[in-house]
Amino acid sequence: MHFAIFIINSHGSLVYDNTALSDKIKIKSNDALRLAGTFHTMHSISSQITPESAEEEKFIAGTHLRDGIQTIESDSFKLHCYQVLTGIKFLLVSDVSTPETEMHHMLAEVYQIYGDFVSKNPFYEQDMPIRMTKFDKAIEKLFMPSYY
Amino acid sequence: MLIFTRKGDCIFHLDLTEKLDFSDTQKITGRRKLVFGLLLSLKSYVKMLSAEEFKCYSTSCYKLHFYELLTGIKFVLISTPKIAGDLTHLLKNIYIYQYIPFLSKNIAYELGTPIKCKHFRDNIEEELRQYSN
Repeated sequence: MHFAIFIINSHGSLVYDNTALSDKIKIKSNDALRLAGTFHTMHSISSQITPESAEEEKFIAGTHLRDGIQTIESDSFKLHCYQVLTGIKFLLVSDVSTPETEMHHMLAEVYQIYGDFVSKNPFYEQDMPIRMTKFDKAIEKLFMPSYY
Repeated sequence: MLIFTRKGDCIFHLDLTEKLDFSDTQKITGRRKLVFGLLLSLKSYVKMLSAEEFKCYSTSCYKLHFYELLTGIKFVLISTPKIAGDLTHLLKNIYIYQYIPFLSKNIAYELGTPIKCKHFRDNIEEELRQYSN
């Protein structure tokens, strides 16, 4: 089950949040802003404290270096972060039993919707909060298919 | 593996990769400060989302496990990202079978000071190596 979804732009401010996926957690809009900011800083610090040995391994593998937090786990929830090349982070909060691959897949879908409805929208200004009914609808359809 | 006190002083730092240069004190203290700061914000972050404690996080390069005592002493373990689940049970074992007998019951050890006990260090090193094999 998924609880909430956040989209953070490359500067660390919240551009979209949807906490209505489930009524299990309640997040106020102020808290959501704070969560987004904190996550952005934690993401960059976590990439700074990468052990040197781990980094070398990565370098040999030829993939991109120094990634930040991908998942956070606690007793009651799991948080998955999907960062795209432009620096936009997609966060998904789910319950513990959700497999990581499913969360990753969901976020990739969200990214696709973002590309279709937000990036291609000529009236959308980069880095501004997303207020589009079509986008909201598409997200709802993705996470709550039974309503449609 | 690192152990922090409630105030954020690092009292134990063990490096199993043998790549960390402990003579570069500035870099080491900077790194410890970063880890401790990150843990504090992660804790409050997780508290905001739910009432439960934070257990671990992972990046593509490493995974960090965390176990905190009621007294505020924090055990931190950094591992490869391949390990499934969290290793807080391992940290709990270290607390029960190493920390209590070798430090809490040690009259020569003053709480909150850097750990110099050789037995403690050797035992932990052995345990962690055993686990990673």
